[in-house]
Amino acid sequence: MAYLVRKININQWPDGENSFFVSKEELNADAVTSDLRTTNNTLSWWRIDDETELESAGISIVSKLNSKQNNIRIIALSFEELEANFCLKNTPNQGDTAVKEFKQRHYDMCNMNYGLLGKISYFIAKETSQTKKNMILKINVKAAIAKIKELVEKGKADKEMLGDYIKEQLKIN
Amino acid sequence: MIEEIATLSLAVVMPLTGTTVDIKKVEPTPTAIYNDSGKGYEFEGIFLEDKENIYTLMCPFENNSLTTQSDDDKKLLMVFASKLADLTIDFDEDYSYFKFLSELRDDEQKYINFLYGALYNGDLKICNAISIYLSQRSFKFINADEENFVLQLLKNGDLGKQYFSLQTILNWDNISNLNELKSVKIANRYLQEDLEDFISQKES
Repeated sequence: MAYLVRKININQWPDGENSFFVSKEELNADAVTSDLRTTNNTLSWWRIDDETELESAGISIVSKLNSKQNNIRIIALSFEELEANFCLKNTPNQGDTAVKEFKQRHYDMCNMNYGLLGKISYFIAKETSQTKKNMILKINVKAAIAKIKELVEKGKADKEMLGDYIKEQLKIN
Repeated sequence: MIEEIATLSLAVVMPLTGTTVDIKKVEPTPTAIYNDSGKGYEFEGIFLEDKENIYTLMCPFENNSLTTQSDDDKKLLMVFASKLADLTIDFDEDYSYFKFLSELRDDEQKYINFLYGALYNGDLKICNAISIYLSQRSFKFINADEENFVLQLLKNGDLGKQYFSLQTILNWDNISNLNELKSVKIANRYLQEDLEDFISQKES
């Protein structure tokens, strides 16, 4: 089963234990304005073919980190479900990652408007509130950097494209 | 005690970068209290004094003060003072300043003390800026006051402050009060998981 993946600030979204998802109208404004920032009315996602690729997607996202973080959280939502509700376009040219293989997997969620932002917020909040098995994955940044280092050494990641923080950690000028 | 607003006009050349920063004014808040020493201003936990070209910086914690005759330090202190005096500053946008500072100096620990002083202004933006700043650095040495400060922020802060203080703690090599950390309950189960992972690592 394919998914679309994106980084989120997990502290902004209901966790289903301390904060509950009642309706999209009651979500924190910060969650929407910080995690769902659009450019040209598009929202950036990465496609993975199945759950085994989740970690790779996380590494691909970490490769662009500009500032220090200990962990990041990524969310994976069903590609099929998103395709049925949103305009999706495969846009390899827009893929902002240092991991070469992942550039091809970039998708734009396009023609976003106020209503659709509410709709995608609903999908995300529903997932973060799920207290049993959910598709939120923690990526340890330190471990991811070790993997990125290997990818750079093997020529599978473009060191020029790395985020400032990753360059600093890998001592790349 | 006489209430007074001071306005200074300075042009400071930032060390290393050569960037000129115009400080239009160093303006204590209206609650500033004129200090008996004649030239100093005490405002909300921060004490800045120009006395025979010596700038003294004092923070709410005992023994946390910085006295310097270094020109570079003085300039930086003045920049800080001007920024902190202007509580309307957008610290989110001004993050680059903290980044600049963090890259500028090896002995930045002492400036952390200054930033702690800003907490006493009670401004959330400043608290967050401090937390963001702290979370970007790895400190080998955390003194008891500083550790306690961040712990209290984690224990008693709202979720926003808990998030930033947790990011700070996750950077620590050591923590003297692991038991207190165990008693913390974060209002987000994902962050709680991060905290518990950290505690497990430190215990193993």
